Amino acid sequence: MRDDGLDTMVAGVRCREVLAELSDYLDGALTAERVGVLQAHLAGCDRCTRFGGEVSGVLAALRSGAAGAPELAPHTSERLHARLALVMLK
Amino acid sequence: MDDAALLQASAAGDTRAFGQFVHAHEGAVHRYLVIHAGPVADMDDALQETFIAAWRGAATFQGTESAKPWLFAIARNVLRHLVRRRVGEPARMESLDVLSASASIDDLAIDAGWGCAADETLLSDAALARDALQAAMHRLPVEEREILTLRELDGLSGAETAELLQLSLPAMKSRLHRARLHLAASLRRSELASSRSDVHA
Repeated sequence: MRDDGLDTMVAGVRCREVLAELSDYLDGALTAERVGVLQAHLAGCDRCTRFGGEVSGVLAALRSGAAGAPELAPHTSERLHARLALVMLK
Repeated sequence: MDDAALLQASAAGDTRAFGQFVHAHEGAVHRYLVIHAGPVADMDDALQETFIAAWRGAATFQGTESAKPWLFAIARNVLRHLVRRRVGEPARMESLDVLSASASIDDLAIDAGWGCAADETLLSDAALARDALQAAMHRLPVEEREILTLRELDGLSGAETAELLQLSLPAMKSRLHRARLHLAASLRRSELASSRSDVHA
């Protein structure tokens, strides 16, 4: 098995476990008790703390930049409303 | 008026209410369609068919809050019909990332920068710029792009996303987690490639 450091134990929790629960942690989907356990790990683990901040930053940038797809072009919207106007007349 | 009230009025024939509803959601539905199908020529058709179906089916909306999940479900159906119509056409190339779709969470996390030295900057502001994020999103498998769009951009709840994608809540969470790490890994990979080309320039 490779030695990638993911089995490092800090405050009774392995880094691997923190990574597995990172999304739930960021989404506030963990129990208060579990949050306390992970926070104790994070307080003593620079690697997980930096990584959690990194993922959190990526998601914040994604949300603020609306980077998923190009904006709706005005002519596309105009054609949509024109067609709907016809359909709604029927 | 909220979505439920607008759709109730639409069902009673109020075209102005439906116009207001369309204005509120056309951008999100368009994004949803592009994320799924790419900027194809019949995107206008797909967008129009989605809202025509919404107009005709307004009375079937049962929700009390946002109608986005309901609209996205209609858009999914419209796309299925379009795909059937396109049978015989060459398949669209899916975006590909170097990372395998079956990479483990551990591998994704390491590729995304877990374990980097403290003095190693992970992602610069440039790496998180809109264009870079867009490019990274398009390198993801379509189902990961879809779930990130629904959760991060459209703000659907976990339960709404799971229902729309016909996944259990744990399966939805697992896909979302993988998609987030995959996105971070994809951004990091681009940043590394860019810094290497700067060095060799």
